[in-house]
Amino acid sequence: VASCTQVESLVQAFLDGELADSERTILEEHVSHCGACEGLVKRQRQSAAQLFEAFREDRLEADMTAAVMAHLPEMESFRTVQEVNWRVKEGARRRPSLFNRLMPIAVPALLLVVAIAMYSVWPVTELEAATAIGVVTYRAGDVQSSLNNGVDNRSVFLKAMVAEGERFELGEHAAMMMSLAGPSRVKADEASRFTVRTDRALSISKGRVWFDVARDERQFRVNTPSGDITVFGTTFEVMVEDNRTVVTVKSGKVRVENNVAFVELIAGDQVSVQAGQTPLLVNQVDVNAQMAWADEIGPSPDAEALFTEHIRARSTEQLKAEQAFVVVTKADGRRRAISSIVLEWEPDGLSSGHSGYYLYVKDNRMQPLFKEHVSADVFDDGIRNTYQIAVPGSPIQDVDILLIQIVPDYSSGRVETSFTDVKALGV
Amino acid sequence: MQLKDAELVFRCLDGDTDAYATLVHRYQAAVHATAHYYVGRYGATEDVAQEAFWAAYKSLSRLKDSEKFGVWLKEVTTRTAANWLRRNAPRLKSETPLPHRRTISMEDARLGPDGEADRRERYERVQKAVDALPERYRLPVVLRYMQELSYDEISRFTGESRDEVRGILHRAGRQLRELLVDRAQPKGDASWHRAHK
Repeated sequence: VASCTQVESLVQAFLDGELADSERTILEEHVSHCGACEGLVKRQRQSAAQLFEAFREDRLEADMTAAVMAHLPEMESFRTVQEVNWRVKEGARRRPSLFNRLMPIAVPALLLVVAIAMYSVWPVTELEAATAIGVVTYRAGDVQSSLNNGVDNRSVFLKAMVAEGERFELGEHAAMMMSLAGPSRVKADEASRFTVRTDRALSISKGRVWFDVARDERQFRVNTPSGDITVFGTTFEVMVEDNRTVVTVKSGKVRVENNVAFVELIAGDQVSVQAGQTPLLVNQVDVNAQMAWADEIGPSPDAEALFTEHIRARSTEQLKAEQAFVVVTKADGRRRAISSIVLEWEPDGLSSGHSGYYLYVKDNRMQPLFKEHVSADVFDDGIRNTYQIAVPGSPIQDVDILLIQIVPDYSSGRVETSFTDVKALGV
Repeated sequence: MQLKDAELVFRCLDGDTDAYATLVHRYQAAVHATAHYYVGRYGATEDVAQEAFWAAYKSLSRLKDSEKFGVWLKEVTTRTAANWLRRNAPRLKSETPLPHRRTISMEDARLGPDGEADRRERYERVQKAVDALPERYRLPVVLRYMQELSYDEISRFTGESRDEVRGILHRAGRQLRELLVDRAQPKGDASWHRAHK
């Protein structure tokens, strides 16, 4: 049975017609036998009647829809509203929008993105400058570069630092130029692909690259799939096609070799090299026409200044590089047939880190005879002091002197060996 | 079947003005009562109510939760009323500060001068009783007794739950009864009530 207090709490809702059926039954049942509550309901109804009567005068009787719709203003666009919201903060009263709720995450994320973007574009960081060997001084079109075998791909910008082992790939209609320590200049034509191994070594797998190499004791070496190029200071161009490499020389002297033969070029010479081809045939070409494309590429003064400041002035490790020997093969007024060549040196006792050597053998008319490679293992022995190289094919006949150049390859190390003597052995 | 507020809001944002007409029709009583609650004594109820609907339409895309259109509309109405009061403050100061002005109705004329004076007195007493209520109770009371809105309709407009509305009207109803009936009428039911206490 409901108490009077319980019933009292139901009276207002009862009069307002808002009671659930069960509640209404309880109230009606209680009121039917409780005079006090019956009186309460009566008085509450009187009160409500007074309220209704007083408020009725101000009640909305006429539909105002038409009046409102007749002068409807233009709705603010979503964008305007967003801007207004952004500027006029309405405080905690308003639930923050998704945009606002994401701000604590979005702002640091945005800053991070900006930082990464700036880091990748920033021309010089101290770390980069310390290890860089060159600077990109011209760039047009799409040029990508990567370190670590393409894991770390990035777009190349003007003034980007060039690191050892950096691989460059040029898109269609792209062009670029870089200055390397020395200073040497490298210009690459569209669709070229090459790797800068050191400031004195590059490999080209595709395309057309122009070089102006600073004269230095160290050789400057360019590798291509069909042959290699070695220079000391010169201007030349290398064009790498699928199965051949074309080298054109504008000035200085350039040695071009494949796995079996070599040739030396001077200004105006051009040679086309294929793997295994021998001998290598030299043509005369119009060098200026051949290299016209490279003339169109010039360095940006800013980038060049950056290069001068950070890289050009840096002292580079001086290497002994090429050693040359003249071996007289005529004894007792008689030419002898040469079947092998012997290298002699003072062992340095080191058991690792030696450089291997290339041997280039020319005759007294400076015509190439053959080339040979001496593995670094020979010098890593530490005790050994001679090495004999057999002349490939038949023995060398009718030659007064042999001109022998010995050039380090630095493939397995940088420790060089001082050769004390080179001898020719007869048949 | 009636469309929900949220659906109508979406249609409005899509440029469907008929949908807004439906919302105006649905909420005009509540908006009108709210406007009256704030500016009724200055006779500005109609103006403020219309202005509130225009302001709401204009910034409808600012509404975050379209389910809560009613609550938002109440805020817009309150703000519109507050702006109206601020804008008209200089004029209102110089005007006679009638506590509650109301229009003369047909009924006043029918009742004659005496009836009119009687009604005027009761009207003032009710207004005083309502003004004595806690601030939070007043708007629900106005919505209930002026427009006879259901608890659900009040709840949709004030943002309180239906049970909260029921509680508010119960407590307000008790206080109003005490002021309007129990104390004003010492004879009759009240004396009967006293006798049984």
